[in-house]
Amino acid sequence: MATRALPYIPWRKPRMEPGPVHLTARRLYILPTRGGLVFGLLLLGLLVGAINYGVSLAYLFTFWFAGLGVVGILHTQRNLAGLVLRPLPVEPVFAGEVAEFVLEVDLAEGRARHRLGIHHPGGRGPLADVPADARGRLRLDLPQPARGRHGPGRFAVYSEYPLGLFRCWSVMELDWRGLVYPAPAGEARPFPAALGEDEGAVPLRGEGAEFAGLRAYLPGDPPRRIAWKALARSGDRLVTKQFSRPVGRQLWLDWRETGVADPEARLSRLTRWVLDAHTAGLAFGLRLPGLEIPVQAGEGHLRRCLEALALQGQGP
Amino acid sequence: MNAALVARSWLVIPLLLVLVPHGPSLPAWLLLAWLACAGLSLLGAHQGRPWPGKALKWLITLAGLAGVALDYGTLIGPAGGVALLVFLSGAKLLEIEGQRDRLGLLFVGVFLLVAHFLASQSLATAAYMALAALALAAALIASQTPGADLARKPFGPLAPAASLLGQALLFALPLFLLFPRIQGPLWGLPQQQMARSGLSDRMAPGDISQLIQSDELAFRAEFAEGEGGKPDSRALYWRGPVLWDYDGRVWQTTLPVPGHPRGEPRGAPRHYTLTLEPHHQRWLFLLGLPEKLPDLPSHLGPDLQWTALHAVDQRLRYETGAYLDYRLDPDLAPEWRRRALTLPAEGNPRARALALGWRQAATSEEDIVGKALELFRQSPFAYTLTPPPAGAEPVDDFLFSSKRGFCEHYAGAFVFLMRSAGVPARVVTGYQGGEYSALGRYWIVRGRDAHAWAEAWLPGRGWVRVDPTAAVAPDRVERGIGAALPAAELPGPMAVMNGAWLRPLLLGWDLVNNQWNQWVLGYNLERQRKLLSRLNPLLATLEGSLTILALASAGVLGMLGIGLFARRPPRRDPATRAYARFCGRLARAGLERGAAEGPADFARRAGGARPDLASEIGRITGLYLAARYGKAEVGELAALKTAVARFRPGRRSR
Repeated sequence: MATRALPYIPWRKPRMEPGPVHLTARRLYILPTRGGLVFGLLLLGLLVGAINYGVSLAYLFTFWFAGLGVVGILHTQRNLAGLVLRPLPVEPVFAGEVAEFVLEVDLAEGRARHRLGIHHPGGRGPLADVPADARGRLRLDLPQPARGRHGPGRFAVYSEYPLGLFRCWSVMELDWRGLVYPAPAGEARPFPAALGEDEGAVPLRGEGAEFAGLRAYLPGDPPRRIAWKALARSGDRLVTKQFSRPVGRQLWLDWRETGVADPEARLSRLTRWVLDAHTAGLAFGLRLPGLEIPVQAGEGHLRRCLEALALQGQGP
Repeated sequence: MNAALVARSWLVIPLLLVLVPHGPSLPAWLLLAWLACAGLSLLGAHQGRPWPGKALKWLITLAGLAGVALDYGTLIGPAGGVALLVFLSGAKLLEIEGQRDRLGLLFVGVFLLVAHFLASQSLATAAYMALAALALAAALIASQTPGADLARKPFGPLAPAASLLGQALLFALPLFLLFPRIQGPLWGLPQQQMARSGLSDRMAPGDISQLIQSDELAFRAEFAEGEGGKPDSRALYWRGPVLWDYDGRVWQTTLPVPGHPRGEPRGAPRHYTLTLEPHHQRWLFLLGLPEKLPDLPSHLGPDLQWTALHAVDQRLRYETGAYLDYRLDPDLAPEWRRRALTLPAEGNPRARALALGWRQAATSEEDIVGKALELFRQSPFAYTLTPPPAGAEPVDDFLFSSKRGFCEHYAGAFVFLMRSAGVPARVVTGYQGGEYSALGRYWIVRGRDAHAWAEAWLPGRGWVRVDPTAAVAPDRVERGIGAALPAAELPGPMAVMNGAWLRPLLLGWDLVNNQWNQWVLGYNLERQRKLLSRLNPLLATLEGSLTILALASAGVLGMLGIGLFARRPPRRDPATRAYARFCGRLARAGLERGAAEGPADFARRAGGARPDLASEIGRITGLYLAARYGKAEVGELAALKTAVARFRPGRRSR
């Protein structure tokens, strides 16, 4: 059996569950592993040999090993049966990072469990043991390419313990998603000037905004900021004027002020600014289409802003 | 301990356990190569070194293949195949990469384990292999156990493996009993050269005396109950090869003896079951005139020599009846008469002359036989295992000079004399008597019971058995070989057997082995049918046995499932146990706690009913609630326990 297919057996889409999941025998499936199939063929061969040579002890031991396999089915199933799986909140990550999905395993019955793991079309989690009368954790690391709220989708919790000849599993899909913030833009850029509601009405050299220097022009810089005089002096290179804001002034990070056109690039830029502003200890506000988060500072505010960026245009 | 080393040992040691019994049949280079591979593998695991390069691995593999092919001439078949697998398992130990490799190696171990039963199925082998199976099952579990756990508890997998195998036995036994047995090979068995044992088809001087020195089991025989008790050992002439032709030195049957016996039974037959050990020859042994031969591919000649069509390579069990009193061939066909009188043209003139003298003086054939027996009885003949070597005239030398010999000398000389005197005669070899095991009520017949006697054809009586040895050493027939031989000549094992204290032990061990042979190794189609039909005739049919097999498996599965999955009652915590004890004491004092009554309510009510105890009840309840529902503190629990232990309400003393 191609193990990759595990979460798709059965093919029928599992019911979305909020969790915790109680693994009853009803929802457990079991099939031989590749090794188990080979073992079955081996036993068949031994049985044919026993018949052919008429060796009584060969019958006995072949049946004994076959019994071992059958008992192995029960024990493999017993290793999963009765578990309670509780999805833990997922730590938010940035797009391009790996999100860690962790299931907490609680024992409905006190037996120790061994070698449990999560099987996902995108990869397998490490195998974990659960000691008797304790809790364990099953981890699944999934790379997150896009922002938004993402869950693992359908996956299987499986185990091959004790013999490795059979694999028992249960397929489930949990209402279990983690936030993926937009990937912050790679390059540090100065914050936009503190602009008012109306971009055009705000004077370029607003109160407190002081000229801080020149830097090379980047596509998207507003034409008002281009140092035309400098261009005249240097001849061919566009330079942009930069203004620094004195501390304590209100900083608004605005969807319209990112200097890029692509919506995802805008979000990346804003994410970067939000992070930089937070790192610098600045208070800032965030304006997105249909949403305005007032100027504030602090960890909670940062999270709120990042969440808004992650979910921008995707509904709640 | 090094985790990788422990994990590797869990492969190497179980495989080694399986290989050890194969050892004697494998060439030394192969064993050394395997051990070297295993040692390198362990060393590599210990030092965490990578595997040898690809080129080296191929080189090793090819060298091994070539070695096996050169040594065995083949890479398949039972012997070559096992050797190849042994080698490959060793080579594979050098490059175990993942779970798949480990499983593969353990499967090879399972195969080699079962394959060894082709060579030996003794009780000891079975017990040893059960241990090896335990090691293999534990290795399977170990391959699923994380290295850190293995390093902490290297023998951890043994206990679960033992429990799994114990449960597996519950499946294996009904399968073994009920799985339909199929008779006969599915394909041709390879011709294997096996050392023949037991009697041979020729009798040269010294052949039988060699056999007599061996303690090797020939067969066991069990007589049916209720047919006149234990038979007299003097009557037990187990008939084997009948030898017709003499070339001056060797008795044998050079030409086949076609036809069927013409016998007339007298009296009632004795029924018996004979379990013949594989001797890799074709004789089957019989008592007297058989009543009805079992359904075996075999042939019974006119001289009552019973031959199987194929060599007996496996333990063979047959049941038949024997008329111990019978008349065989009342009229002898001329060609048989001629053959039974033929002697070499020359040689042994003194014996011939003696016989001719008897012929002329005698009035009947019986007379001649009597004269010969009288000769043996009256001349100073000695019964010995170490007669002087035979000369050019073996019969003359024996009869007139050495006068020392063994049953083959007596039988041979007797038939020679008879033929010289014109009485048709032949040599019969087989076994005589045996050891009776009162414990198991069967006869044990060994190599040392081998015997040779003669048959003479007398007009009107047919072939009559004459045992000249009995005339010389009556003890041989009456009490067995041990009694007939001088003590100094007793072979080693026999001398031990005669030790009185060891005898019951040895007989008991023989009984265990016999039961093992009969019920485990000899459990074939016939046995299965018989056993099942005794339980219920329906079971003996294929459908019946398959149905009951399915039912039995389902039953075992169900029982195991219930046992494994049943919820165990939750263990109550110590505080609750102590409180229950406290409530029990109050109940005996007449204060029962209601089913839905909370501890605090109960304490209030009990305190009201027994003001004398109120403070103690309140204290205990408080401790209990603190220990149970408060932060778990050891101190409270201990206080609760001691308070409950001291709490003695007693009857109200009012």
